[in-house]
Amino acid sequence: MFRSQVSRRQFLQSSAALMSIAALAACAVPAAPGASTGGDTAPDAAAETVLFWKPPHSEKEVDLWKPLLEKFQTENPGITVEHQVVPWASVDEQFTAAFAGGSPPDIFYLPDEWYPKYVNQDQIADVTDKISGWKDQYSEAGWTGATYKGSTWGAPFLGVAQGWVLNMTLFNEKGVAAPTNWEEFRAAAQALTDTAAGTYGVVADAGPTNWTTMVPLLAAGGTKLLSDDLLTVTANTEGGVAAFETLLENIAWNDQSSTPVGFTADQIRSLALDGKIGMIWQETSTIKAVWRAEAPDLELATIPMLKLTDDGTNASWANIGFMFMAQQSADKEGAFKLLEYLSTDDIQVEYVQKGVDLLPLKKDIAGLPDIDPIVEEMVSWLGEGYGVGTQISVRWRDATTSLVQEAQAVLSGAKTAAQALADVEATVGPILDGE
Amino acid sequence: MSVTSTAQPALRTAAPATTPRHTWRRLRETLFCYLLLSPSLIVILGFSIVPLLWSVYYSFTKGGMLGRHTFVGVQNYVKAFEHPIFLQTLINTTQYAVLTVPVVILLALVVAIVIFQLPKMQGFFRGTVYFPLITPVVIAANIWAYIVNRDFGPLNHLLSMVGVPRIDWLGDPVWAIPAIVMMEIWRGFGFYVIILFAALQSIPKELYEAARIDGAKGLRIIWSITIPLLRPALGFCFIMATIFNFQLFDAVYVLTKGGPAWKTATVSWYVYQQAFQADNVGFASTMGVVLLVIILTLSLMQMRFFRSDIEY
Repeated sequence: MFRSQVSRRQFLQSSAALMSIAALAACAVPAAPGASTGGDTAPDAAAETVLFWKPPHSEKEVDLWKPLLEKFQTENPGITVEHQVVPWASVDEQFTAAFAGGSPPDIFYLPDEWYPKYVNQDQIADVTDKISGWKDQYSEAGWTGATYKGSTWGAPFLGVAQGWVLNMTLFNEKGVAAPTNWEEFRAAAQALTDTAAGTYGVVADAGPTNWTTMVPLLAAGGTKLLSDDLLTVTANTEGGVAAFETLLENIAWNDQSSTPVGFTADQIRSLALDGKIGMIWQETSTIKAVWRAEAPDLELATIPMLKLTDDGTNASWANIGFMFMAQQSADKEGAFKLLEYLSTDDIQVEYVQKGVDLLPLKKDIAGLPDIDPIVEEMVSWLGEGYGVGTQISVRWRDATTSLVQEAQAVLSGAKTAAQALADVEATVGPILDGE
Repeated sequence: MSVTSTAQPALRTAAPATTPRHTWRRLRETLFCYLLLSPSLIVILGFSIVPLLWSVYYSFTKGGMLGRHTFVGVQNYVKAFEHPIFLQTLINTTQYAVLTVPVVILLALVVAIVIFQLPKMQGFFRGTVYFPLITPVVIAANIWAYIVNRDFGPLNHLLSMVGVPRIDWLGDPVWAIPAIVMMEIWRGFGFYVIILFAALQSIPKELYEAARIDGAKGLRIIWSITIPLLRPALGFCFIMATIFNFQLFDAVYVLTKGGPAWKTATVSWYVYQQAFQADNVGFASTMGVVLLVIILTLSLMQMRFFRSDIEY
């Protein structure tokens, strides 16, 4: 009988060997999607798949892009776009893994504070020669932001502006007028606060990404985080200290009850939309998508970060993002076609303006007729020169991490404004190398 | 009938084989063992050993996650021990471990002994104490953030009933570490309860009976019989707790992002921050290697301290 020819030991050995081989095979590199595994169907030589990654600017990101990318595919038969929304919280990990794994997105969006790292890693294609002719179509700030180490790395795509959003419903209820200087700002924060009723005058937290509040605050004091040559910390000036003292030390720490302390970001969002917060620093994209949608009854107004010193200025955070092409895709025809398409006026209008209420960076895009007045006001500040933003440097995120950590120290009473900014200088200064 | 299977015991007790046939069989058996182990070995090699060796190499270089690395000798190590934030994270990490490890083990020991004494429902209570550990850390951390909220958290509410003023648990540099330690104790102690409970079950009942006959009671029995016989299990718990707490990352990442003013930042969190955000992989690797050496040294010291000659 056949059974008698195979011993139990041999059977076990064979089974184990097969299982090991199967396990090893499972670890093997899978075949590329679309690769032919048989002889019946040959791949279409003209077919090209372009990977497009973008962190979201809307909760409906996929729906917004679907018709736009379908249109591109119709206009470019043979090119298929695979769109992936990368959560902001995992941008570092996902992009790094993709680059390290040799399968990066062909075209991707990143804001100004993130991309120098990938330039230094030789992962972003230098598109100076390819798009230098586009320069005149863009705002100067947008084009300058795309320039790092003397080359142009991406096509400017969108900008954001930020300012204090005032809950005028609460202001009116308390009989308080919108502040025009810091004395009024502090008085308003106190007057709007009623902890028994659960209302707080101002949110002055220093969450991990809230350098977007701290940098305009420094500008109000007449200084900025780093010097133009990116070699020294310039935040620790008399004006910088005065700015930190005014908002973080005097208003937030000394008047602790004016500020909701120890709340998570979600809890603060709920408080704000419930009309319990008087003043909160917000981005333009939240106005229609969040405030008008979830708190339609609140009357809103907006003011910039108010000028504090003679050298200072009214300030708004202005952030710019770009569409980049991976170095690995530099010669991929479909990738550049998509980059061109994403840089058209249509996309600036349909996605940037109508889709996510942000700022197109092309000069010839007229404002939408139904622009929200709060957004219109914030955008107008940029024209008045209030915009401050990222200083394009690979050290920027280290510097801003230190800035918010030290801001937290002031907010918790652990350090004075002067000590905190001196510590920013002490910790960030040594790592600056001009890059 | 299989001849091979019945002959195997005889082979094992036979004199060492020296013939080429026996040598080939032993070689084949050895290869077979390695073949069975190969999937696990490949995973360990690929995901632990190789990355560890790369980290050690990177710790002597300057560079980012991708791209060129420049050899800089021990420069990163010199920099690390002069780096104010890294030194702060070392102090913080030690504080977490010192505050968490003894408390969590003592609490787990007490709870394990109490559950062990229960005549019924031991399984229910073992499951209950383990529950926080299977709760995803993000959910646990958000629940904790609510509990310790300055303005409406139940903890401050309870404290206010005995006249303690409101504390900004996660925002105050003095209280931020204790607040996270409390959460880590709550999340972690179930793990040690299960281990100590299993160890308690393996202590022979005769020893307790003999002690009672000799007149010992309650705490005396625990002190003279239970604790000494739990020594290996306690040692394991101390070592694991030390390792876990020196590697603390998730709670800090979710709750405080290292703030305020780096006061809750751990070495692991700062390694992550430097490697992934600042793209300073050389320096991050250096800090990782220093942490590895610290954990290894502490583990060896604890293994020596908890070594027990008691067999039962």
